[in-house]
Amino acid sequence: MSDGSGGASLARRLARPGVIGGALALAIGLWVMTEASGYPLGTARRMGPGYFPVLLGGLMAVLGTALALASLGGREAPRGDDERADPRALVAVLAGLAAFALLLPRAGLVPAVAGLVVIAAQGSGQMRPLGAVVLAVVLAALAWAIFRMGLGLPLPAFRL
Amino acid sequence: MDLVGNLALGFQTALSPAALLFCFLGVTLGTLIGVLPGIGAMAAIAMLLPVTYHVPPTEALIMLAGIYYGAQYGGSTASILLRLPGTPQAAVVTLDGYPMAQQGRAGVALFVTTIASFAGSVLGVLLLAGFAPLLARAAMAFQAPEYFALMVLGLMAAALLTQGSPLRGLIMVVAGLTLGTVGTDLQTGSFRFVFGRPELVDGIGLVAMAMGLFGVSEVIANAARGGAPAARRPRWREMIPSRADWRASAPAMLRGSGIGAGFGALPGTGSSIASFVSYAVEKRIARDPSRFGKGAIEGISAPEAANNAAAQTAFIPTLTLGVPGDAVLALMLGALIIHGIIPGPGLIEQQPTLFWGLVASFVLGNLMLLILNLPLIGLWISILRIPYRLLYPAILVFICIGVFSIRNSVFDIWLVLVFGGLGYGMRLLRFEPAPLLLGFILGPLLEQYLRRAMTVSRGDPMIFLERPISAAFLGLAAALLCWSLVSGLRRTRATPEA
Amino acid sequence: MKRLAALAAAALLATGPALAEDWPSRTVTVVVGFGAGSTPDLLARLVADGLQEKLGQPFVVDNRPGAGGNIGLDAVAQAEADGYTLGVTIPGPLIVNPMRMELMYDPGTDIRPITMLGTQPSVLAVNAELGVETLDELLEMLRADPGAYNYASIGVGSISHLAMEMVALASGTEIEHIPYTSSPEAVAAVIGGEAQMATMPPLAVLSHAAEGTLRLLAQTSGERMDVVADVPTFAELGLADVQAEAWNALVTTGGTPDAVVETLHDALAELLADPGMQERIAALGFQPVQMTPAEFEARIIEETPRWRSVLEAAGLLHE
Repeated sequence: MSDGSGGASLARRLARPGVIGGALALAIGLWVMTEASGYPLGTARRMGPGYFPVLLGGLMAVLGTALALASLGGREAPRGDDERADPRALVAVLAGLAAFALLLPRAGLVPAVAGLVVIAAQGSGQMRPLGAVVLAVVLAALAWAIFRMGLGLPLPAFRL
Repeated sequence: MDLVGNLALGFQTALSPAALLFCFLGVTLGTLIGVLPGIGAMAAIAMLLPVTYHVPPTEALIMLAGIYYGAQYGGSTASILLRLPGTPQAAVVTLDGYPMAQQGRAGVALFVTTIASFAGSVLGVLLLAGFAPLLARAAMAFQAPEYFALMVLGLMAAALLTQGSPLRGLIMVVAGLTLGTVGTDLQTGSFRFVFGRPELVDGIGLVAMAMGLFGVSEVIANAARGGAPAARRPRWREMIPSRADWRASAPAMLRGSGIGAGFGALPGTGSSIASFVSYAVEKRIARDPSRFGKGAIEGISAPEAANNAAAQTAFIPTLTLGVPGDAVLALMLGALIIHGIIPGPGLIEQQPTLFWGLVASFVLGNLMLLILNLPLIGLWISILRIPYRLLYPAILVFICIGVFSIRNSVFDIWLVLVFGGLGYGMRLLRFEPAPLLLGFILGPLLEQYLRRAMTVSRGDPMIFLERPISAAFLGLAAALLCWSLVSGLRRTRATPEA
Repeated sequence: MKRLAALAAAALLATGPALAEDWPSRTVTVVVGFGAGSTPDLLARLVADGLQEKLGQPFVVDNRPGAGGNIGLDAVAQAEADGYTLGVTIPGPLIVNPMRMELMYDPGTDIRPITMLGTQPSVLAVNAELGVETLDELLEMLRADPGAYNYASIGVGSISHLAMEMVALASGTEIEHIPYTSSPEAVAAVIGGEAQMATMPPLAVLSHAAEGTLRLLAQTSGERMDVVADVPTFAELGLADVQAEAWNALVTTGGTPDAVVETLHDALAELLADPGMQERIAALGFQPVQMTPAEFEARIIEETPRWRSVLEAAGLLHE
């Protein structure tokens, strides 16, 4: 092949972001079509609630297939700045958000902010535990002062 | 029409101490609301309700209008500094504004967006003053097929503005449209993709989604390696754009303002489409389109001017048709009617003091915004001096409380989590979220217009090609797609994968 | 430190369970099932403003347009029964639509009626370029070109929908229904030509009629109403079935404590008796009305069979 993609092994080509992304889009598109075809479709003249989503699911599946094939065939220009996944940051940040969502209705604003900050701060790998706790206290106090006192949002500092 | 006399009357009204005070209150509050994505809009409305009913309509309107266009100024700040857009318009500004901040040019970016906001607003006001009845009549020519075609064009522009394959952008647009169908079908009231969750009946929250896709994914990506290079103590000289910056920005602002002012007259969606279209225009006419997405200054000045120009002309449908584009405009409409003024085609002639006073206040309000925002830039950039390991937990706190406050819903925090993870995955697979956001906003409208147009045509899709305006928009969209596919192919050939 | 502890304690106290006697102790949401600028929306904003002044807490209007107002009423039905969610509705979602389709809510148990706020006629308006001057001419035009015309409505089950179905029935032809989510949108569609006619609240059409872009042919009320005194009623024109007032009413979630409903009703009674408020309501094209919850409930029961017969005649009854 003239574009030089023939050199890459099949396994490496299958791991290209375009191939993975296209395959995912195809899968999601098909799922949307299946789900939406459970709603009344109606006619082109008087469309039911299912018509438009089915159309979108189909479009998504076609586009996903096209992207996967184009990428597999080496039709996509490479980009040097592809980043590596950072599982530590991913887990820390998402766990921090989960802590906030769980603590806010049960324990109040201050514990929720503290939980979010202490957990999410682990994502950088550059924070000592004491530093994280100090940051948590400062941010919790700030959040309370700005949002509860300043803007009067219905966010009690503590709940029992 | 005696424009000079009308404007004189307007300034007479707008320069009264009370009007100036309300104008100042409005633009200040607007700036705050704009800077804090998600927070405030509803709270501010609740706070202002009593005020709007008990001051004279002109003053009430001047204040509410100040909030509306003032928010457009602040909207780009969090996008440029922290990649936290609260609206699709702000998402366009992240495309080049955030890279500029990463390169240590946050001050220049904020300075240029402030100037672009001002330029766009002033041009928008001029068009509003000179051609309001004309624009209102032109907007009447837009029926379901035209709106549909216009949205397709806007979505195409959004899909093609990203780097890499146009297919990725198109997939993002379709994904956004699909996410937009979640919730209750507007015509039949039946639920779609709700899965028994009452929180989903009203659809997915825009801000929760945007904060997850942009803000949280950015935090995850940068947590370990740090964000923008820590700026030194900001100096004025570093904020002032260079001569080259001005030369690139000035014509872009003009083009953006023109596009924005035209689109703004269409209720509801005008300003978000205008931002994306004006970005696409800049990228198309640029000598080196590859600079876009990496800190091209036209990439922030044009859309910023467009969205502010649109915010000014958006008053046309609100005042002459009674069709408001968003919650703040709706409140304005309410304030008018409470005072016995019915918006309609005769409003400009029947209420000259009100209309021209409002127009004059726009000019004064934008001046105030300019004076208010330029000194704030130094304050905003000093945020970037905080080490990222300390800053990002604060960003997350800010996102969580902001999103929660919109409808006091913990469910929306979970949405932030889901979209944050999703956004990070998309980032690794090289998908950009900006087109998704426009698709999400336009999805429900696109569907309504499609359904209406097809009912009007009794099921014949040719209606989109038989009507000249809609055919022209669709033709443009197709041309854009072909152009980008061809040039994308050419680029691939030039740089074969090693 | 002491001060901080005191503040923390105060914050804790503020979150104690809300008592019905204390209602309202925080922001009350008024849900409207139609877009901003529609007549229910404007009436809701007016009443919300008055209640805010009387009861000392913010009353915020929340627009949930769509499906003829069902989406908004459903939001009220699903809310906590604590009086912090009110709704302004028209007859459609409350009486008509439950007979037309499966709904997520049962108005009988999930909604608690409070009072009617005002009634208004609905006016049949046509695009002036059609050249039609009277209802008879409109019927003739429909017969001459069956199936060629569209009408706009504010959503399914509304008077703007049913009245046009009755007109279609009288003409013996079909008129295509295009639903919108607010009267300004529907009127814009008639002026722009997407639809040719619509039955709308007076407020939405009067300024356009004055401009000459719309022509008003008939009104739905039993007797001519003051705001449109020169427009004949459908009954005068021989369509006796098309007779309904497009009333707007305040409701809340079913199961809301009596104490809350009483407080609310007393405040409303005072508010609606105020001449200034009556004047403002009249300025929106409404005739101000007020009734006790019991009277309103009786009115709903009384109106139900009338709507049923209209639906039956139009072939829209859900089996």
